Amino acid sequence: MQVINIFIATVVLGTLLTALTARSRKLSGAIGVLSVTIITAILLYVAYRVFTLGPRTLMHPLMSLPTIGAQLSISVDHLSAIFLVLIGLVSFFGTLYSYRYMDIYPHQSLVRFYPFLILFIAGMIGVVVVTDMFFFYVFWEFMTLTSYFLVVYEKEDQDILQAGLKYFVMTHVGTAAMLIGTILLQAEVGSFAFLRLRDAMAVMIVGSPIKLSVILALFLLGFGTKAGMFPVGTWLPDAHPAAPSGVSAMLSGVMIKMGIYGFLRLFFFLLPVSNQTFGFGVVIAAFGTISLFMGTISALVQHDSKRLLAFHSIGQIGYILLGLGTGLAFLKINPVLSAIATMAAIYHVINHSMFKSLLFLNAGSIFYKTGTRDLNRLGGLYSVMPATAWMTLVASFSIAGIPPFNGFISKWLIYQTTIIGGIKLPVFIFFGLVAIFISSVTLASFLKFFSTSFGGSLGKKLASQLRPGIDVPFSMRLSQYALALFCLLLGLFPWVPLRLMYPVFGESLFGTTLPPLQQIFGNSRFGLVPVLGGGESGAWFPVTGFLVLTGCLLVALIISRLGRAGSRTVPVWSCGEVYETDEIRYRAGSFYIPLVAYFERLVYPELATHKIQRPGRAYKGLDFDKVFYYPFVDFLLLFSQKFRRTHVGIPQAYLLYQVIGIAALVAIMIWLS
Amino acid sequence: MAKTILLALVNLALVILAAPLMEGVIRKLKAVVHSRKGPPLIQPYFDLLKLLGKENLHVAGNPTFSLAPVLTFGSILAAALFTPMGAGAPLGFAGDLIVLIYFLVLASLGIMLGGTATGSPYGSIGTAREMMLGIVVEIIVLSSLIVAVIPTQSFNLSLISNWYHSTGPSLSMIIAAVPFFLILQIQLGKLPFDIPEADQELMGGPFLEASGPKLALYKWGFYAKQIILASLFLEVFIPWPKTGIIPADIAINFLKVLVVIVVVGVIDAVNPRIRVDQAVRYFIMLWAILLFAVSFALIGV
Repeated sequence: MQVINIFIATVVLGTLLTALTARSRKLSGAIGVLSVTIITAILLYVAYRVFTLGPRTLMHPLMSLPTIGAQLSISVDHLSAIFLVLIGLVSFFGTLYSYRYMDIYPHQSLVRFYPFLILFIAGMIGVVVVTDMFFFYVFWEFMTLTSYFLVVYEKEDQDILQAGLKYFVMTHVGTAAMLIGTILLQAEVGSFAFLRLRDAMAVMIVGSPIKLSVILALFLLGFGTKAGMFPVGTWLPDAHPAAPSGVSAMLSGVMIKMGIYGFLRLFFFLLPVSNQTFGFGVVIAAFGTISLFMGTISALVQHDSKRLLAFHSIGQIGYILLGLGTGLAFLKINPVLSAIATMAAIYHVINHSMFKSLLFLNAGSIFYKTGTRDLNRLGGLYSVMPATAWMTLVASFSIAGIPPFNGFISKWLIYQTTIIGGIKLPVFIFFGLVAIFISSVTLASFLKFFSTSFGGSLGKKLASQLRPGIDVPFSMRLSQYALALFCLLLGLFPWVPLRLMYPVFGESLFGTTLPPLQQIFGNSRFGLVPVLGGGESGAWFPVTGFLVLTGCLLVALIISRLGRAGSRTVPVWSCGEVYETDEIRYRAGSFYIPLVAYFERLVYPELATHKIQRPGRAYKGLDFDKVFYYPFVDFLLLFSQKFRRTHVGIPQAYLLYQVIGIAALVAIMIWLS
Repeated sequence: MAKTILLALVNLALVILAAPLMEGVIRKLKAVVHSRKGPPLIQPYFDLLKLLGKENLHVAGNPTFSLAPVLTFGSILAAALFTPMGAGAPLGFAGDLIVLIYFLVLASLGIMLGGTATGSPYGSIGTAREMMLGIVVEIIVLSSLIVAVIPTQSFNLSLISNWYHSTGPSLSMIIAAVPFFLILQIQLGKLPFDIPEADQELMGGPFLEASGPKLALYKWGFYAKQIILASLFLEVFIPWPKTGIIPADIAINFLKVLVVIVVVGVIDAVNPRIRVDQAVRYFIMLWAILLFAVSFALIGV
């Protein structure tokens, strides 16, 4: 395969050239965008080949470590291909966006941006194409480290460094758990290859199920931390706002999905169907429900635009995990329902990559234009950035699951599967109801986001600090338009992604037992009629619905024109008094206080209102930062300081250490032999 | 195909042409309760015609303000096509009850976008209240409908209606009907839950700046929503009697809707407005009732 050579050459050359030309911001940016464009083209080509010809594998492994049983061989199946497409598209638009967006950091060197960006993308690609747990871990770490440098891009800012440290420590605790799990599995068969690990698990299910459960729980912790699952994923709200917006889009759009990829690969491809799949299905669904509740409720009280979006990432990952968990739990009971739930989860992964990246780009555009992320200080931006306003509206509709946009389909499938599945396992009905409830909370949160930034008229103070020009530069808008188009198309033509993802199930645990896709989703070309229980359990024909809605809107428009009313522009009426816009603006911090008061005992601290100060009861127990991560770091620092005292700077002392070390080694060797 | 189109036209005619009559009935009723004479039954038609011709005042430099009423009225019309009104939903094959509920959400979203677009503090406060109530209401609506989904294993409204019609009353459905009925009040913006509009304190909230055709569309949307929600309630929870002859069923449904609207109107006439936090507490209680209904449905009674 020639493609891999072009890919490696692009990554290496791109990294070097962007680093060397970093003094010229334009040139470095252009090379960065060009490299990512080539990488995206390669990814789309590979994915196209996989979708048309079936899984592709590289003939020879690139690297082999026989002593530990690890092998770097590249294989792309349908699951990997879907993730490759996502990585390609989001990275491309994120990088294109960054080309002009990086103007807002005139004093920061680009040498710390584009090279790391390209390596970060390469790391993510590595994670989804390897067939070996050892190199999976290697690329996983590579991805984490490069993204760490992108998160702490503004290295002078204490808060950002703090956020970066939290990200670094939290994800590494997760990764360590994953590594321990991997090594425990490897010890069973002496190889890291996915196929051998599957054999190991098959043996352990019979022989030592408890040990296997522990291993799976470790993986759950590792993948969950990366994905942003609630108690362990709280690095997101700090790290995502810290990074430049293009990178935030990639972090939230694709990087946290690597955790989901891990879940899919482990539970749907490696773990044989057993009691463990059922148990972990319920556990994952429960964690998903907790994440979507806690994440979204916490988002409701945020007024930093990107922090709000990051909390929504926790919430939306909750939806994905709920779908996955439902899929796992029903694998034995009702394979069709299980397949639909899993497809809904993968569909939501795709949708979330699109609308969440778009939202981060929109928040970035607002930051680029106004220099602030505080929603309380924004307002009336429609008059200066109409394109961004419309794109934000599209993305908000998508994430809130309003038909005919893309979020609706995946959430609709998740509601259907959880509630109809819940007839057998009632707890899933509860999960489904929470998901429905949270969907309207999401809508509320984005209504606040949209209306506080774009609604009303522009205040004088804000108007004075705007960056000149209409809206934002075209290359930034282009990325937003493209992602918004994807949001609409994915909502109108659900068959395309469903058809592309369906072969995933043939390669996974489901095997060949599933009926063809037409039997699951009905035979109509225009829409989906899922068959979950006995007969059809629901219906949604997006194109029909879209046309009907458009027709009805036209009727409404015609009716409103019937009277041929004259039109006149008037100022806002404030009971006869004359006020400045800023004096009477209803700000983001004031929204929803009576409702939020009901959840005050549960939500994340750093709240917007004066009324709600104390961290909640539930939160105190789950505050991993305070209970675990920060003490852990403090301990490490203390240990290092103590350890430093042994470095006295006297050669004799070092000689003594060496002698002691050699003696210890000899003792160990004698004991071993 | 012809049947679908005919049914669709009937539904549209009901929500566009017959809806203001219902409002006329409510106004008359309210006047009777207040010992007034009240306007004639067809007064709402005159109001709408007058409003359509009145000057269209434009406040914000923001087109979402003028598009919002179109969005509201348009999505209510679309929702009407997914609602069974006596003889099955015209577009029931293309969208189930979740689709219907979300089209109604889209309608209230239109109101909310219009309310915040102007930057008027009254509009924004009204919008925030509307959204808060929306959050608690939507889950109650769907939870009570899910009680019917559990035995039928389907979200298809016509299927649900036929199932309940043939099996007869069940305990879980009767319990679930109560919260749904109490929710009608808030969905239709009636006392004691007209908190977002709150004429005396917010001067209409989201509708404050809307004038002329915009106000006409908002009002018309509300009238139409009364018919949609009352029909939904009746088709799912009280689907009797049905003759099997489509025109007769539609007529029966229309009369039943009238009864429901009258009850809603009486409650509206005799109640004061409550605060938004009281309302939220009230709905959380309703949701607790629904959990009972869901559990009963799961054990099949």
